[in-house]
Amino acid sequence: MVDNNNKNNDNNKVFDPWGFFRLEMAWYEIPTSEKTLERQEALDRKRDRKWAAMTHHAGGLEVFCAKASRKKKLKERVRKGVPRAWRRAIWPALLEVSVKPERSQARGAASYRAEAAREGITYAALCKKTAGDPPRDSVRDVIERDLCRTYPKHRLFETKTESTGVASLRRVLRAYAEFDPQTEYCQGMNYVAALLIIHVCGEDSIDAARRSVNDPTRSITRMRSREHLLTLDGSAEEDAFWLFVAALKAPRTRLRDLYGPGMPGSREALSVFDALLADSHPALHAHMRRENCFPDMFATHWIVTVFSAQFPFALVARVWDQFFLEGWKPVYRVAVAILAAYEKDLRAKDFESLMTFLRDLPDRVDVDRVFSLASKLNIKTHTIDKLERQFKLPPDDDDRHHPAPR
Amino acid sequence: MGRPDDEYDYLFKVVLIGDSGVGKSNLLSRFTRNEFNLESKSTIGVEFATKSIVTEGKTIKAQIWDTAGQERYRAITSAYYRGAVGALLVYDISKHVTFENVERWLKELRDHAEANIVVMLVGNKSDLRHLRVVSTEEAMAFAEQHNLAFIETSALDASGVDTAFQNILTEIYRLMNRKQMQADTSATGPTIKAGQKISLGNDNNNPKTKKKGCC
Repeated sequence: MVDNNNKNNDNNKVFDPWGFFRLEMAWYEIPTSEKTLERQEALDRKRDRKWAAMTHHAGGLEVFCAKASRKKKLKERVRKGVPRAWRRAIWPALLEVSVKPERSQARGAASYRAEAAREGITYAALCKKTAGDPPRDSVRDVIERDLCRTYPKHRLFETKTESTGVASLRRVLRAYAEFDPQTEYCQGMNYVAALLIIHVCGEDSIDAARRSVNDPTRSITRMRSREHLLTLDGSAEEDAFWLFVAALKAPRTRLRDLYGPGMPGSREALSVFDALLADSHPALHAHMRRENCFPDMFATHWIVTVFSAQFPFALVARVWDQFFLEGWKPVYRVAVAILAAYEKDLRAKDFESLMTFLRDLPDRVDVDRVFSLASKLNIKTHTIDKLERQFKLPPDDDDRHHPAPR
Repeated sequence: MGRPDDEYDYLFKVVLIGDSGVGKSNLLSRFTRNEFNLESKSTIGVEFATKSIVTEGKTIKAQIWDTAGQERYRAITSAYYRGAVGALLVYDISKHVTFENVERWLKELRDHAEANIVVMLVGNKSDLRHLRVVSTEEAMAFAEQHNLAFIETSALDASGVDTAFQNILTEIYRLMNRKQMQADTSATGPTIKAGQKISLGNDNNNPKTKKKGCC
């Protein structure tokens, strides 16, 4: 491939607080002004102190999460957004919290890890078994082609350098394909795994954020490019793997349903989203339908990656906070809210303008507005349950004969 | 009065298919926006772009659907073959397996696309000369055998990209014209108006049954 000297010799790369390059950023440019970014950073610091006080008072994070009397408070706090530095600890903990109304048992990373260990399966063994060059035309070959196409503008996943993030991502995805041969690998899982690696292993981005926070003269961090070739902590990578396993298999998040042959869960979720939109915003839904613009045309990546493929991390991380605690409801709420936030624009557009607008939307989505709208939407758990039953497809339906429902 | 982009004589729907990582998205961005992204991301689901070209005095607008390459995604993407009058079937000249899978993609088209869809075989990444493993002759012979148009392209250095799209759109136009002339023995037959979606298929393809992405 063509060498891109300019980029690689630039020793003064600028990162946003999430670890994405700020220069030449298209996808990930946080769509707010520097001022708003500073405001958000100040808010993050405030919440950081609040979480520290809250959990200290309760006698630790686990105790805080486990106490029934705190459930409402926990939900409230999580909906506002978990402070960045806390996600590494809080995401696995949230998955283990029993919330009401509870549809199914809470299960977290630790329980999947323990269950596997009882069967003699360890992350190290899975890695060892899947090391080496991928066999030709194998699923590992498909994984290989996606490694450098996952967050190429994030400091952990820099394309050219075979950075530590890429190596971690390779091991995690290969290990999962070995661990769950029915699911193996489906494009989209790469973003989810990378998102978890960034948040669980990428302590440097938290450090970077801290440093920038402590430097009042600028809101973003400058670093020499050599510095970010850090080695990821092996045990943190293992934590990320089991959290990935839990996110796929836990009854609350059950991402695994999305990815199997025929991707039935993805098609179901798109239908549920479509029905929820029709219910809450009938005029907008009718307009889009008239223009032949359907959710699978623009929202497949929203659902399949739970927003993580193209949206700014300011949105992604907040959705995932709630996803780990509450499951799919907040995901649907945010999906509907994204369209609702731009209803006026959308209703003035024809098919092609709609498609272009929706294609470019992740770049400039107004994150605060979306969450504010999402919190006001009247989308109920039992409605979602009903729709999920209505659109249920057989588990390995391969869709040879009935394409996505219209 | 519309923007210049809105003025066209015909609208053709074309799909980009082929294994993951062969460069479909970059072919699309090179053709529609003259952009190439070294740090591109894998496509999840489908993406869409349009561009108009002029051929034989007519302005033709291409509505191009770019699809995820992994086999599993066909459950979602095969719906997009419906109503498509052209398909660019892309492989990577530096990865032989992507060429071997062309047969599977042809079967996919036979199962889900219109019978008369115009298919062009596209060998992408022709700039990777030192890594080439699929020879031009081998691909050309395959294309002839299966009655496909064939071209090699490089989305990176832009060679062949415009030609590929120009050729397939022209071929669709000619085929449509021939059908039109056969159908309209006199000048009184129905003519296709600007903005109307063109289909090379038969009756089951009238606008009423079409559900996707047409104007």
